[in-house]
Amino acid sequence: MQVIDKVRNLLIHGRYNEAVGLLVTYSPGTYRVLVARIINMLRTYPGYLVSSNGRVYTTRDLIQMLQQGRWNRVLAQLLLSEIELMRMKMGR
Amino acid sequence: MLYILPTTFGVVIPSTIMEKIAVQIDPSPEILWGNEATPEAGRTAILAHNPPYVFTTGHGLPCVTTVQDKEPFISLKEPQMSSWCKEGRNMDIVKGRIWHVHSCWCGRELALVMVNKGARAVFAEDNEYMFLIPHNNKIDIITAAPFLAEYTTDATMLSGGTVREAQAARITEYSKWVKYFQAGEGSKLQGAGLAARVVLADKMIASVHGDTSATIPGARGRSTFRLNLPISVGGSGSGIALLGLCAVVALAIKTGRRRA
Repeated sequence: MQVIDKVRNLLIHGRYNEAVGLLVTYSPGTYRVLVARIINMLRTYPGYLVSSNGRVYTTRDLIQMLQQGRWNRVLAQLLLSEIELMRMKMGR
Repeated sequence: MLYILPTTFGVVIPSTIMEKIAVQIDPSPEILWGNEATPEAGRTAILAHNPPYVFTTGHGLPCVTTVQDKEPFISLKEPQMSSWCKEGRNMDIVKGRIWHVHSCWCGRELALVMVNKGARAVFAEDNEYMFLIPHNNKIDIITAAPFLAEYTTDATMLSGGTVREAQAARITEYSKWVKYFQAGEGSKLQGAGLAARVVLADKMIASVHGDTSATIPGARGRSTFRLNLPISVGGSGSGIALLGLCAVVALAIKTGRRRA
C-alpha cells in the first residue's frame, strides 16, 4: 500500500510518468489490475473524452494507448480516480 | 455578474450549461456568448460595468486562461511554457473581483498570481478538466454531471455565500455525483463507471485561492437551478429547441443565508 500512496501523490502533483514507472516497477500486479479496470470502464462508453487544449480522445484511442503502455494526462487522471476509488473502498 | 462563454474547440458544452444556469441564479447576468466571448469584449465589459464576480471558461494552461478560438484572455508572460503566454494580458483588471476561472491548469499558477495582483478570490482547476461528449450532440446527465457540481460554486456565491461555503458546496456536489454513478440511480446508465471516475478526477483538481471569507457585495441571486435534460448543445440564440424526455435535476444548496 505504501507504493500506491506514493503513486497517488505523484499523480496529484502531475508527475504521471514517475507514478506509472513506480507502479510498474514495484507493484506490477496492481498496475495490471488498474489498467484492466480503466480499460473496462472506457469500454462502457462509446463516446469521447475531452481534455484541455482542444484535444479530443475517443475511448478507443485511450484503450489502445493503455494496451501499448502509453500514458497521457487524461489517462493519468483516470488512474488517480481508480486509485482513489480503491482507497475509498478500503475506508482510507 | 459577467459570464464569458466561448463556443469553439469543445467549450460549447460547458458554455451551454452555464448559460442555462446563469439566467436562473443571477438576476442580471451579462453574458458574452460565442463570437462575443473575446478577450477584447471581456476586458471592455469588465472596465465598463465593474462586475464583482466574473465567470470565464475556456482551455487553459498554468500561465493562461483562453476564450473564443483559444485566444488568451488573462495570461502571464511565460513564452517558454507556451505561445499562448508570449505576453502578459489583462492582469490589471483582476483586482477587487472574485473569479471563477473554469480552465484546465490555472490553479497551478495563474490563479495565485491573480490573487497577488488583487483578485479577492479565484476558483480554479489544478489539472486537466475532463468531461464526456456523447455522439448525438445532446447533453445528458453523463455529460452534465461534472458541470452541475462545478457550477454549484457560482450558485452559492450568487446567493450570498462565502468563498469557503462555495468551495465546500462544490466538493460536496462532486462527491454526490460520484456516489450517484457508483451506487445510486445513475449506476444503471451506460457509461456510469466512466462517468464516476471523470467526476471524481474533476473533484480532485477543484481548488480555490485568496480570501475564503469573501462574498459578493449585495448578492441577491438564487442558490438553486434546474436543468431539463437532455439539452441540445448551443446557446439560446442558436434556435435549437429542447427535445426529448426531460429529467429534471434540481439542486438545492442550503447556505443558511438569507437573500439580500
